[in-house]
Amino acid sequence: MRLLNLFFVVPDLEVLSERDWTCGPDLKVNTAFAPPDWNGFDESALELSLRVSDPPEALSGVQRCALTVGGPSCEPFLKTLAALQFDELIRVEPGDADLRFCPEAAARIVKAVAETKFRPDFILTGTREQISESACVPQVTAELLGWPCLTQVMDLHAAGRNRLRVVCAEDGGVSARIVSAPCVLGVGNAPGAYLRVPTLKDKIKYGKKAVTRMTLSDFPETEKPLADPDVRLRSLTRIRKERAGVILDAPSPEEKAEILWERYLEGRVRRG
Amino acid sequence: MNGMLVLNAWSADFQKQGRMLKGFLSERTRGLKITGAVLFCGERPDRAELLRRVPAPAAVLISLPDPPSAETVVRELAAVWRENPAEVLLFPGNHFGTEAAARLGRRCGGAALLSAESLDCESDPATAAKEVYGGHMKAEFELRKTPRCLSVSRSCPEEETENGRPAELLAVRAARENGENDFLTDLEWTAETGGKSLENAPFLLVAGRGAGGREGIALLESAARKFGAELGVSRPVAMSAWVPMNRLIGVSGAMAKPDLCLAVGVSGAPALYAGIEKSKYIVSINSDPHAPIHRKADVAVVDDWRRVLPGLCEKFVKRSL
Repeated sequence: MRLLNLFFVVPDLEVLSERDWTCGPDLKVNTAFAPPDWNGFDESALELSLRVSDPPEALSGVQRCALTVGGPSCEPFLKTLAALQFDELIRVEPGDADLRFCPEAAARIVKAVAETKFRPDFILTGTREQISESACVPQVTAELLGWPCLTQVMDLHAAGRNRLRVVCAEDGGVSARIVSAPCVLGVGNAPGAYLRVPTLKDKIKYGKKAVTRMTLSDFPETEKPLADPDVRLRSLTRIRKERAGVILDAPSPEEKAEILWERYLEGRVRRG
Repeated sequence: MNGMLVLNAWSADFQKQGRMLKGFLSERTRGLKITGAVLFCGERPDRAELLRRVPAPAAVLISLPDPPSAETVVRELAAVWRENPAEVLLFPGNHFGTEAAARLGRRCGGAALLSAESLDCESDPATAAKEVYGGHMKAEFELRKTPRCLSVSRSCPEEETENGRPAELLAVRAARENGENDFLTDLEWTAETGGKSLENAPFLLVAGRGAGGREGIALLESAARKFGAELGVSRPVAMSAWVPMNRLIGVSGAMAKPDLCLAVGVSGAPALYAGIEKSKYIVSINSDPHAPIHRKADVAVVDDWRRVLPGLCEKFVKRSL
C-alpha cells in the first residue's frame, strides 16, 4: 500500500499579540517570528498514516511519502518524518508565490506528485489549514484526480491489501466503512492522533534521509490558479469579539467565588 | 443574481439546515434572489413537511433509497446545475454542505468558498467574507467564476422556517447510485448523542487545556453535574481523548448558545470562542491574567479554578436545596 501525505507547517498564531494583527497593502500578516508547528489536522493525518503499520492489523510493505509546500522552516519537520520512517520526503519551495488562499495550487501539486512521482493508493491530508481555513484541499485534489473522497476522517486502520477501515464523522453520527483504493482522505477531528515521537535510535538511523527539494517551476500547472484564481483575496481586517471583561478583585480565590456568586450569578442561575 | 439552495433531508439536522440558510439569506446577503432549492430525500418523504421547511419559492426533490454519499450528491447536483445554471449555490454549514460545495465548485468550473459569513452579490464581482487566520482575521474574497458554491458559516444567525409559505414542488427525480460508491462498504453507523445537548444547553461549563488532564476533567465533570450544566471542551482536550469527541465546542464541534457559560482553563482562542460567542453571559476562570478569554467574557476571575470552583459549587448546592 502506498500512502501520500500532504502537510503544512504553520506559525503558532496564539503567540501573536494584539498589535501584531495588522497587514499592509500586500494583505499579509507578519508571522515570521512565530514558532512553526504542524498544522493540527495534517499532524493527525500523518499519525493515522503510521497507524496502518501498527498491530494488530499491521500491514507490511507500506510505502509512505510526505509532501509539504513551504520554506526552509519545514526541514526539521521533514527530519522528524524521516525518523518515523516515511520513505520519501518532498519539499516544494514556493519562493515568493503566495499560496495562502489558493487551495487549487496545493491540490495541483499533490496531483502532479501522485501522477508522476509516487503513485499512491491513498492520499491523506487535513481537512483544514490554519491560515486560509479553506477546507477545500482534499475535495479539490479528489476532483482533479477523478478519485472519490471522504472527509472528516477520525480514525483508520489497515483492512487488507489496498483497503482501509475508515471512521468518519458525519452529520448526526459516526460511520465505519471499508474503503478501497484509490481515495483521498481528509482528516478532521481525530482524537488521540498527535504525531508520535521518534526514538533517538530511529533519529540516528533514519533521520538523515535525503529530502527531494523542488520549486513551483517544477509544477507549471500551478501558474494559472495562482495568477488567475477562482477566489481572490480582496481585504483582510482584524476581528474583535470583546465583552466587558470585568476583572473580579478579591484577596483570595474563595472570596472571588463568593463575590462571583452574589453579584453576578445568583440571579442568573435557574433553581435546580 | 439568482441562487439555489441545496439541503439534505436525509440528515437529522434538516430543520437546522433550513434555519441556517434562512438566517444567512435574511441577515448576511445582498442582491441575491433565491429562485429554488434542491432537496435530497428518501423515496417516501413527507413532502408537505419538507416543502414547509425550505426557505425558497420552489423545490426539486431528488429521492434516493439510501442516504446519499458525496459522490452521488455531486453527480446529481452537477446534472441539475447544467439544466438550470444558477449563479449561486448555497449550502448549509454542516459536513454535507462543506463537502458538496467544494467539489461542485471544482466540477462545474466555478468558485467555492466554505464557511461564508456574508455574501454580497451587488458588488462586481460578487464578494463573500469568512474568518481566516484561526478566526483572528476576516477576509473578503472576490468570487470570480460561476457557479459560486458557498457553504454558510455555522456561527451565522438562524431563523425559523416554518412560518413562511411552503415551496412549490417543481419535480421529483429518482436517483440511483451508478457505481460511484463501489469503493465503499458500510460496516457500522453510530448515531450522535452529545452534540445536540450542548447546542441546546441553558448552562454550559467549558473546559480548556487548563483542566490539566483526566483528573482535572473528572473534577470539572463533577462540578458541571452539581451546577446542572453540560460539560463542553476545547479541541486540545478532545484531541487528547480526555472526553469523547462529541463534547467538543467550537468551529469543528458544537455551536452553543447558553444563557450562562463558565469558561474554565480556556485560553480564548477564536476557534473555541466561536462555539460560545452566542452565550448570553460568559464568566472566565483562568489563572493567566493575559489569557484572551478574560477580554471576551462579561466577568473574569484571574485565579486557579481548583480553588474557585469548590466555593461556587457549594453555593449552587445550597441554592437548590
